[in-house]
Amino acid sequence: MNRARLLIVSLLFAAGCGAGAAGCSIGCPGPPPRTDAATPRKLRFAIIPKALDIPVFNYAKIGADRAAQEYGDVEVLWNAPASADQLKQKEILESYITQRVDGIAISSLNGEFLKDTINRAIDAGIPVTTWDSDAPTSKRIAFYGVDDLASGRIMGEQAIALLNGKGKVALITSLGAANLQNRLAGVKEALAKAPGIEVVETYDIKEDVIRCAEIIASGSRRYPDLAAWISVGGWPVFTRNALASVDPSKTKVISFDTISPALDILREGKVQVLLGQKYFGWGSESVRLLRDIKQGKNPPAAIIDSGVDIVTRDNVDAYEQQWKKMSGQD
Amino acid sequence: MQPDAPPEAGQAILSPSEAERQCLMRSLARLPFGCLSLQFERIEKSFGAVNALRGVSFDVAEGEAHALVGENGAGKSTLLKILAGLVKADAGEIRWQGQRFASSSPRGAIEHGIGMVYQEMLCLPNLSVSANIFCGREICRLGLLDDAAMRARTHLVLDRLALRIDPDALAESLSAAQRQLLQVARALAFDCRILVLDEPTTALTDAEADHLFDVLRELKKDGTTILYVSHRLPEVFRLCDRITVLRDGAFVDTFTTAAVDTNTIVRAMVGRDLPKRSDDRSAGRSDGRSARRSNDRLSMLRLSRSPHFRNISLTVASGEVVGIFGLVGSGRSELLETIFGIHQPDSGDIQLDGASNTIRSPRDAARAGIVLVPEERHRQALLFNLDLRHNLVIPKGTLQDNVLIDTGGERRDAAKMLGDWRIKAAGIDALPDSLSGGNQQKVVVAKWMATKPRVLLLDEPTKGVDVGAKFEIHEMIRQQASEGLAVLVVSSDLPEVLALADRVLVMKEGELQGELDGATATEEAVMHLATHEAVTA
Amino acid sequence: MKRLRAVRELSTVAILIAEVLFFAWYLWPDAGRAHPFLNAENALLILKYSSIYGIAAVGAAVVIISGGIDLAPGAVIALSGVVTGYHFVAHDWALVPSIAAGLSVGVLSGLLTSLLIVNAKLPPFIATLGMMGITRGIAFIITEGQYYDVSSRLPAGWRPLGVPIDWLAPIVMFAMALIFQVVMTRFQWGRSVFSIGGNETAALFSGIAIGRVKASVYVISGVLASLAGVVLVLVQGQGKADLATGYELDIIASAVVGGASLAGGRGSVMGAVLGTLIFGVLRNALPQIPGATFYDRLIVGVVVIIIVVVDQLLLRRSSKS
Repeated sequence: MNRARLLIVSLLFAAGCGAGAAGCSIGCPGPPPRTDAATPRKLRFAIIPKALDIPVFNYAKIGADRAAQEYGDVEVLWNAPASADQLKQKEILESYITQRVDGIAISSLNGEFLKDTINRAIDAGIPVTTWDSDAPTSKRIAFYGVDDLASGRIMGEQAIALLNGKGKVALITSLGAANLQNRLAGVKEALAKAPGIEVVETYDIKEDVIRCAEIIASGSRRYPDLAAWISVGGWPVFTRNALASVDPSKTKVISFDTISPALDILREGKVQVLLGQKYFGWGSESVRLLRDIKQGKNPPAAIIDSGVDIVTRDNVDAYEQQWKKMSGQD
Repeated sequence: MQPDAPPEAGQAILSPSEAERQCLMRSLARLPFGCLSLQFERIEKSFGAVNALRGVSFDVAEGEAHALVGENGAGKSTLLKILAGLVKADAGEIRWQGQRFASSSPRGAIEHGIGMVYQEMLCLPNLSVSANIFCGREICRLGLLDDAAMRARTHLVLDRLALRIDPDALAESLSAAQRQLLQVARALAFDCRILVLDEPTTALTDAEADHLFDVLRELKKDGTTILYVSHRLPEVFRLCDRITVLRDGAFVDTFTTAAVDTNTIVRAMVGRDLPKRSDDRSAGRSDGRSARRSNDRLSMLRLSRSPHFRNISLTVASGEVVGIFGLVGSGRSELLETIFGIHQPDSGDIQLDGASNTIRSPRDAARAGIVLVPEERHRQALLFNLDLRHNLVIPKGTLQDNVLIDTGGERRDAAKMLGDWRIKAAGIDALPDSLSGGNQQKVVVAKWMATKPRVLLLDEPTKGVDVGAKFEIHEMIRQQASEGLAVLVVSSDLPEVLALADRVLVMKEGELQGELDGATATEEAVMHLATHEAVTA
Repeated sequence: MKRLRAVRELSTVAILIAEVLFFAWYLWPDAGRAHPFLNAENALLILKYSSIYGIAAVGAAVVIISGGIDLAPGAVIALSGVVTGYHFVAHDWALVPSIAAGLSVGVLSGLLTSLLIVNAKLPPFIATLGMMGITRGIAFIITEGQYYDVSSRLPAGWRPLGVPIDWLAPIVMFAMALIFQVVMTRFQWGRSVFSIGGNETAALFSGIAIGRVKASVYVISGVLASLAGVVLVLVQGQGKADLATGYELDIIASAVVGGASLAGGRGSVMGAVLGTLIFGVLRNALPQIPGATFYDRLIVGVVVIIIVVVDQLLLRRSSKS
């Protein structure tokens, strides 16, 4: 009698797992076939963004998957904590070390915190690169992303140009991530050069898009004569209504990130300048870098500046065309 | 079949025209009333091993007020539940207006014109009067509730009952009597041909009961048939034309009220095999008597806990068995639970061996030596997630404040208990739900007796128990009493009370009605005390 | 009864083994590579991260067996870590007193919970939901969004109790599991917990001190959660207020998968630990399947339902026998 029950339980569980595995129809090739020495084995690269719920990183995944498809010998394992949680990201990083992946590319929530774990991976023979958000004190082989300081400076200079050197400015950021800190430093550095510009407040919205909308609304009320909002992250343009309380004739908006619906909001006139990162590049470049490293070709420099795209009303259409091409939509 | 002979019970289904013919014949023959509106034919129902109804057959004529009486456990409630569609009969049929009737749900009964008025207040306290009346059968217009129509009908019904309450008043604001009449209103709000009332006056004062009777008499005049279930013989005699008596699940007889008196009915309710019972009694009595009055072990002075019981003063001596008889609602279980510490009394004193005791919980009570075998063993006495061994040893182990479980010792004790009490089980590792009712009850008694108590309280100790186990439990009670235990037994099984008790106390509606000596009390005397009659014993 | 318990725990072990075998097969590496899943380092990793859930799951199992529920473990884990960090880092206390302070969080929250449930007679769901908010809130107030870097003050290569730090969590988990397995089966108190969960009315009528036992159950749950929090902060190195968010659901699911019935009266501590491992293996192995990352919540949900359904079937069949 006991045996019958155990059998039922085991079968049911196996069925459940089977159902789950069958459910992964996207990119789930089933158990990998036993390869012989002739067929080259696939390289397993773990690409780890900051969190699964940050929309910008979806494009990195598209880029990574595309690159993997083009190369044909790469398998992308895309994983991150469901929402920003340093400890969970560290756990995921650790598990890829014990699971002996062939390469890791990570956008760190806290580079300092991950330093030791990254070094362990390197010591275990797994190459590690970073993207978007660096862990500079670790032994990571390369970093691909924007030069945050420079990008911040660009934003500051764009603001000065728009405001003709005069006016009150409010800054939006999320405390904690090093890349955002650096961008903020760049903005402040640039703005300091214009004596007529006054930074009234720097808001921390904790990576929460809804909070960003609230802050813009309350900030606009608090400072009715505000000349510009500068955001070092794309939160104001990730949703259509975050900028609802902004009057474009009085207040200008300069923001990072060009992810949809940012371009539409730009066309509407609610935001004047957008700084685009190389979203697809985060994924595709990371795959290329890791693959090269595996083949013995180390990158020329540790810091690879991806550059930023400055998008305004003038070039938005061309930019969008390029976007569609890269996401495989044409 | 002769035209002027009444049809025999148990005949095949009659065609409507045949029924009409018989109707006509009856109206010309002995029965003063018209057609048979409701016929019960050989209804049988068992719940597990318990035979609730054994081939009950009787008729209710149209336009009459018909009473259904019997002791607790006689089967009245079960019969009503079958009629209402809450329970399905195992065998037999009910015929309504000559046609076979089987309701599979309460709605079925309502749709056939059978209005049920239950004993428990089936009120929705948070809803208004008209919402209560139309609950489940709301009048809708275009999919929305038609409050105006419902209120209008409510007005009509309330007027008919001469009930001066606002249709929009919340049910919880009504008095108990009004709520009872609300039940009646609910039944009347729809096309009701027969009104079935189950103990409707339990919560009513005399004045309120009078009002209800006036209403019922008016309804009768309008042609509504009434089936009235009650213990209260005076009421039955006031209101009803005929009385059917049930006893132990069987039909005894149907009497015409005008032709009998209360004694006849009482005798029919309690049965005729008295001599056998009294033998039983005297055999068990002699032991208890001699040990009686050695010392008062348990005594209560003016113990009250409203609304359940008031002014209870009684004593139980060591070696004595005191029985408390009462019908449902008399507050006996609450009394025992209060002695056992489940509830705190409002006023009054409980003394153990002459010393006052503050008992705040069953744990305190058990520690003091007072134990309770409760009425509902499923809900209150057995742990179905643990095996028999655990169930048997937990009270003893808990009271001794053991920290560790002595598995070996417990298994030995439990095995011994199974043997001593002749509990039929697969073993000490069996689960309680694999035992019969009688054996389960023995487990409950055994577990408490293992704690060597000084006072044993029992609430309906043989409810749902087969005859063999019943006998054994009675033996045990007598045995323990003769060894010095003070026993207080509550039971609505009259023969049981008379068989066991040295003294019989009768409780009615929370008060002690009187005391009878166990050896000389008769069933009629006890029943009289319990059913609203003056004390004659 | 024993047979039923044995079957239930056996089937949990069977599920765990089946799961491991399944992933071992599914993730079988190509020729010439180490197995990504079936290696000692990975096993230790699974243990390390599951143990935080596991320590708290022991407490959850006890509460659920008593017929109650506790939604606060995640928040208590966080606050305990924060309090430990607060004393150790911000106020320069020695390690042991800081740990004691962290554990006291569990004691206090457990006492407060039991007051709400036993004395104020609040339903456990509501009481512990409130405690969850209060505890988490206090953690945020203390840290103001920052965190305490405990690892900075711990000596590098520190071996607590003489073992490598990565082993600390599993050792504590197995120790707690063993202790409480014994307490629940061999101590009168444990049996009282089963009785109350099985039929509280009957337990009351049998002379068991319901109030005392229920209070102690919630205190234990609180203490174990705070123990998990202290271990977490020592192993991970950070005392943060947003740690362990949502852990309570995984913890309760582990206990249920391990045999605890939410109706009370059934379950086992060992089963809860096995349940934790079942989910830990799932969390570790799924990300190795490309594209499966987003399926882990779905699969966890399906697994819980299947196991609970099977549990019900087993229960019904054995009670009929």
